[in-house]
Amino acid sequence: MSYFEAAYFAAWLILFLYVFYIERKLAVLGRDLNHLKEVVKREKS
Amino acid sequence: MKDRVTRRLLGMASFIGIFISLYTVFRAPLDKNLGIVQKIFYIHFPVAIVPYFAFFVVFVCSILYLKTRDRKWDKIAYASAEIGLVIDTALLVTGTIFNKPTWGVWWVWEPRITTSLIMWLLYAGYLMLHFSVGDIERRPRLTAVFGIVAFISVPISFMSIRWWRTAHPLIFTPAKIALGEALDMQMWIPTLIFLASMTLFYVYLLGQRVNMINLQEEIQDLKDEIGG
Amino acid sequence: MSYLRHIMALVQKDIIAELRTKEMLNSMLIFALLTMVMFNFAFGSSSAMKAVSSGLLWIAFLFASLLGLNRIFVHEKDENCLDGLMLCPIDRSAIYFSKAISSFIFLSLVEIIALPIFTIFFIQESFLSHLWLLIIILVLSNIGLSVVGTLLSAISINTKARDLMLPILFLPVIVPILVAAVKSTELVLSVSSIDTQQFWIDITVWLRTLAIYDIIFALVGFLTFEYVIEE
Repeated sequence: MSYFEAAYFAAWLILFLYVFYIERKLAVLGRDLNHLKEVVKREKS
Repeated sequence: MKDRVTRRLLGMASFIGIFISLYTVFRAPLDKNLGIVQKIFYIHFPVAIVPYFAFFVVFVCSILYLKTRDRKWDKIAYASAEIGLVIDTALLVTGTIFNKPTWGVWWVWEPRITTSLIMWLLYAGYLMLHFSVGDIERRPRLTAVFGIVAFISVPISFMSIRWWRTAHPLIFTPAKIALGEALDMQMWIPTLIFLASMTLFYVYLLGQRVNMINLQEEIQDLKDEIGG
Repeated sequence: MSYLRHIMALVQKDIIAELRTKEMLNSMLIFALLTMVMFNFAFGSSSAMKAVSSGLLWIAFLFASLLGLNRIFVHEKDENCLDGLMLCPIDRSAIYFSKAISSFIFLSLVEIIALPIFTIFFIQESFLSHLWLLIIILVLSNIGLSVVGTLLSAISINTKARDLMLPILFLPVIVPILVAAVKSTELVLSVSSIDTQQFWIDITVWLRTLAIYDIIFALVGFLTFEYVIEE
């Protein structure tokens, strides 16, 4: 791997790992939220 | 709902922007002296500028939080600090890889690199402070004050190559730009496009990160409701 | 005028409290001396020591100041004195300046004792003719360390990690002080180049850096301290 390739690879690896972390976490949180909303609805009825 | 669509569009736009930037980097002419290694510059430059901007956002939002006491500013400040830290990491990595072929060593204790590293450490401290204050009432105030203090590193880092003679090249000065000596015309195109798409990428990340904090708080509220 | 009187009363309180226990002063002083001794073992030969002596001096002072700064709000917090202080009809920034002044005094006292010992240990050459310059450097750096340290100490006392947090926040912020203090001390200690034209140009640059830094952070502390301690 040349220095040029290494630099681009490393920078994008860091940034995409971060994007992956955010998107993954958002998906999990969205699911949790919907689940919780259903629980709340069930408890109220 | 509308927010969500905006965020998705921003995400797509920044990814398309990045692909266009990579294409223009690929098409840009080779440097006379450095050859292909010079192309690291196109990614090194935007990942250097965007953290400055991100930390400036932290600074402004910290002041706004202390003035208005609106939690919104605290969320934006935290999100911006985290994203700035991630991009700053990319800066230090690309900088280190850039050093080896151009200067012959991986690391030099030279003002620009050193101040960038200190900036990284300061905002790592900012995140640690955020996690270390358990009391949610107190946390925004304390992190806001530190967000203001930590900003001192940004102008120092930015001015470091202007104040001291260093090995780090100073490309963008008003005089050089006016004379057309800063960059070759064909090198300006990928530089500016990359900077624009990286900024877009930052805005997209900021939206997502703030959204994440909001979701977490909403879940916590619901949990409290069920528990209580 | 009453603002100044408030500050002085609070400083007096801190000094009396410290003189009763002396725990902060003693531990800072012993710690500074210990650091010097440790350096001696870590770096060995005296020729190498001479080249880095001004760095050693400042690292020793820096860690001693860290030790003291960690303590300045501990008593207030643990005994709930801070609540009492905040109930006083005085400006919140008066509390800040009083704490900064007392930590400045403690740090200076430690340095007054530690500096001659350091000179005997590592320098052994007279720089007495330029002692006044060294005193200016010490005063300016101490002001910087105290104004930054007091603000960050008030922040870190509120965290779960407490005294673990202060070094992480404090050390990167005071890097400019460390650089300016080490460089200017180096100039004063290097007898060969002293009094040349270049010497005066260089030393003015570093002293000005220290002064600007002090003013910026005194202002930041003055403006933001009330947000840190409010409940």
